Amino acid sequence: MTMRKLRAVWIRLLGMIGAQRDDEEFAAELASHVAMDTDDGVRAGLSPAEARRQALIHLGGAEQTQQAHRERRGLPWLETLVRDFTYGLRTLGRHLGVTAIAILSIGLGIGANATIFSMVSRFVLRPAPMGDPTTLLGLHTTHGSDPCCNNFSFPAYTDLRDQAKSFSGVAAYYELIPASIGGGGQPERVWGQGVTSNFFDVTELPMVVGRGFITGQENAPEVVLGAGLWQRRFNADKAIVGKPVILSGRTFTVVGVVTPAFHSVDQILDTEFWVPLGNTR
Amino acid sequence: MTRAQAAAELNTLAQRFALTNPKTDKENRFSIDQAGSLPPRQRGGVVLFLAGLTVVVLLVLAIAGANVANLLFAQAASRQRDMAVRLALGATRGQLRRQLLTESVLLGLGGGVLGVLLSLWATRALSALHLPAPVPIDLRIDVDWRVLLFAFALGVLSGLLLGMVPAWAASRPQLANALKSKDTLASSGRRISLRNLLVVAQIAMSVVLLSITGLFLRSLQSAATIDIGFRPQNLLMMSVDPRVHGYTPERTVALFSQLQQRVTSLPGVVSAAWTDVAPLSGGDRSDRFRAVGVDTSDNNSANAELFMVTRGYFETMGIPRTAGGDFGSETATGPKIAIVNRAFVERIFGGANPIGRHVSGGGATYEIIGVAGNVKSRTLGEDVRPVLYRSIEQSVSSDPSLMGYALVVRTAGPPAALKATVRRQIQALDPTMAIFNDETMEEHVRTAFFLPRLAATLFGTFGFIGLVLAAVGLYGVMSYAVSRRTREIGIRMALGAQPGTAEWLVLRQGMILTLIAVALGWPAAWMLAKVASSFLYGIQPHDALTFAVVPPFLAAIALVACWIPARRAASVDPMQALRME
Amino acid sequence: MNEKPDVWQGTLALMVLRTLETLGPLHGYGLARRIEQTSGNLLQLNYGTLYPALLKLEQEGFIRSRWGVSENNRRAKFYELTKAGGRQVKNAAKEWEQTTAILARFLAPAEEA
Repeated sequence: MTMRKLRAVWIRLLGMIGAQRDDEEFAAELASHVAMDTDDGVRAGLSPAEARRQALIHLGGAEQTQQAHRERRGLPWLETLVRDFTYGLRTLGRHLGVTAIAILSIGLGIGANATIFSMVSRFVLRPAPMGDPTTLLGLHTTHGSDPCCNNFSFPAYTDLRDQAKSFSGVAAYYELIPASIGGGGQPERVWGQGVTSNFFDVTELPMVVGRGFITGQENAPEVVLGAGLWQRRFNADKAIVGKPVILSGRTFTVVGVVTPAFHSVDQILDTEFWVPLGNTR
Repeated sequence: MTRAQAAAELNTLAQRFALTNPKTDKENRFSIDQAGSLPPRQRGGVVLFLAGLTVVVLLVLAIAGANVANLLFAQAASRQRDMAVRLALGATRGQLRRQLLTESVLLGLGGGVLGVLLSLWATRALSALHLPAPVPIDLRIDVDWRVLLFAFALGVLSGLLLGMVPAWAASRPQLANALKSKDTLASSGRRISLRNLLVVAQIAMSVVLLSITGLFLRSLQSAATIDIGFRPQNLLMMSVDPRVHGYTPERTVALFSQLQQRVTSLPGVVSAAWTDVAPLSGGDRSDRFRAVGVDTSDNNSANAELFMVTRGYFETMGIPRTAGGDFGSETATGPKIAIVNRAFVERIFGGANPIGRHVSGGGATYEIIGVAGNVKSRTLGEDVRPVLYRSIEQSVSSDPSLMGYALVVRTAGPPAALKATVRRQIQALDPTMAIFNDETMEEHVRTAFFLPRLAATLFGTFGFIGLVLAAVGLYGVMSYAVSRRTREIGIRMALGAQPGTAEWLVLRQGMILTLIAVALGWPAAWMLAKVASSFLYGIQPHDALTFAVVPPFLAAIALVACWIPARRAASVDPMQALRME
Repeated sequence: MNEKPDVWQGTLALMVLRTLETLGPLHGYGLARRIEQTSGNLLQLNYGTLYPALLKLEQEGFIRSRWGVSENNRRAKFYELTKAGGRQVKNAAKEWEQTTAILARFLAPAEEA
């Protein structure tokens, strides 16, 4: 039954489109109805004029019937809405200057705000695409009265990693490593980061293919590629895991490709590969 | 585990480490922030910049909103007759309101679509900008559909809100008055109408906006006149990093001198030289230097920027050498020599002749063999820094550059034309060598204008938008006032007033509104300017020119906006105006 | 009739369907007359109200219509039952019988008492 109702709504929606033709068709149907009623009246002995008058009375008014039929044909509230809209559009079109200025005003105001809010969202609000952003913190060291902040020395990192109990894992990365990459195409210099082997576990970074590094293997000749580099130089090869890549003359085995949204933890540096930190010393 | 608990534990650990490793960890503590947030050192500046921009765009939106509200008011008033007729024909007030609100929503829809398109375009344009830094920086602003959806909804909502009051007012015309073409919305007899208030607020806000815009335009202008200390015209540069290709320091030096010879002998090349990093790259290699053999007090020590160059660098860059000689063919193991800039001489030697003297810093001692002119070494806006140039031959092994090395080439003709030729020379010696940062020096210097240009572009655009909107708003209100007072003006003229009088009547009203607005906006701008000061190049936040020029400039714009309706007032035909009853 | 439009709508639809089931294809005027006659002229049918009801049934797919020629050689639109309409007559008739039966139980004691 509900299906029947839906079907009726659908036909009524369609009915709004062909309204003109439907009106004409129903007018014809009504005309034939009145004509037949009139015929019967004449047969019963009425004058043709009186018979027709009676027929219209039986019907309850041709115009009213037309209207009732029309209302059943479409969806009245939707028609009102459409009428309001088309009427509104026509009014706005008549005052083209005012309309243009109003739309331009709102548009410029909204455009300016959307642009700056996009920047705020990008640089201040947006969390990095790593695991659960609420449980992932960034640590720096500070010295003396200087309010900001230095990178960790490696011993300071290992001390903290081994002794802090507040964290389920502490990973570190070395900000920037330049490397040359050859193979197919123009030789290129690319930037990457050296990371502790637990980096991908701690950050819970989503991978496009493959995996991160195995915790504890700080010197493994393995590399995780950024999605951009993977697409640019390796044609987004889904079967890249296990293949060798030569960085600055040394051979690394690709173990994974990281999500395209990730470039670096601070979301400013645009780095494209990650190798275990042991390789960089 | 909460963040506070983690911070407490880190504090305890810091104290423990300070006790166990007093040499390295004394006075060290830990700071925590959200992973994924901006690097802490840059955060303050970025947040301040964005906060400033947010204030500005909110001002633009407020001006735009006032504009639309004003327009809708004027329109609602002029349509009272139409509304009254429809009411008389049996339409309900609810129907009229729904109709008017539908129109506002349509305006909001249009504005929302336009706004989203504009912001898509703007974020794309902004993403194309490059920060002057030798390291890879990702400043792309990707399309965030949530932001755009929010903006679109905001557009529709503001249309609806702005239409609410006029729709309410217009749907309640005093039938009798409205049919006699009297404006019942305006005839309340109050001198200060809502419309006038809106216009005053609009102009006041654009005074603020324009003053800030003016400051940033002046800042860009002043940045353009900054003496960078070298001649970027006809210079080409491209970088390589032999270290990442497994080159030893010896092979690196050999490659460099071979390339220098080959490129210099190319037709169209005047000279060529190597450096580790071109000026204005934002680089950060510096060390504390002091003169050797003088007293050991701190008076004659200073932080100096470190560059590595080869022979011919200063001539190629167009940096004047004011005393002493140039580098020659030093041996890597020989006594280290250096050329310093004038600021270095001032700071370390008090301006005395430094040739032949020794300085030490960063664990090495250098003999000074020459003096060169000052250049902007890191950024455009910096105060002149002391610089010490080392010889590449003597530094490649002991202190290699992480960023690679740049070949700078002075050309006789347009430098871009030689790009391919120079590239081929590098590839001829090592086809596997990666080449990066290849651009003309003028392109490179343009990048250095990133911050003043970004600020001037953004604030300039928003200031211009605000100004146009405010002018249109003023024009709309004055036009409306004229149409409202046509009868009054007609009577005055029928009684013998000159057309000039009518004109003056309108102009005076507009000017009074403008003056009130300027008197409100100017002090606000004065106060806001202080916030902008850290982003300005070479001008004061209370830049006299800006603050002197903005009010008359705005008044002139306002005058034009009032002039057109005033002319219309002057051309009122008294007979026709009186017959309108 | 206007005071109880809901009942009227439902019953009118059932009358239409039932009439079409017994008599086969009919045009609107014929239907109206037939319903009047069947009701023993107790029902003063306003013929106009029939058409929206027909349209509703057609939209719900219980009847279909096509143009044809009447017994008096007039062009008229004929309505006939669809398969779904046939099922609907049975269901609705059963429902109606149940309803009247229930109502009868409510009304009967009052008459007896």
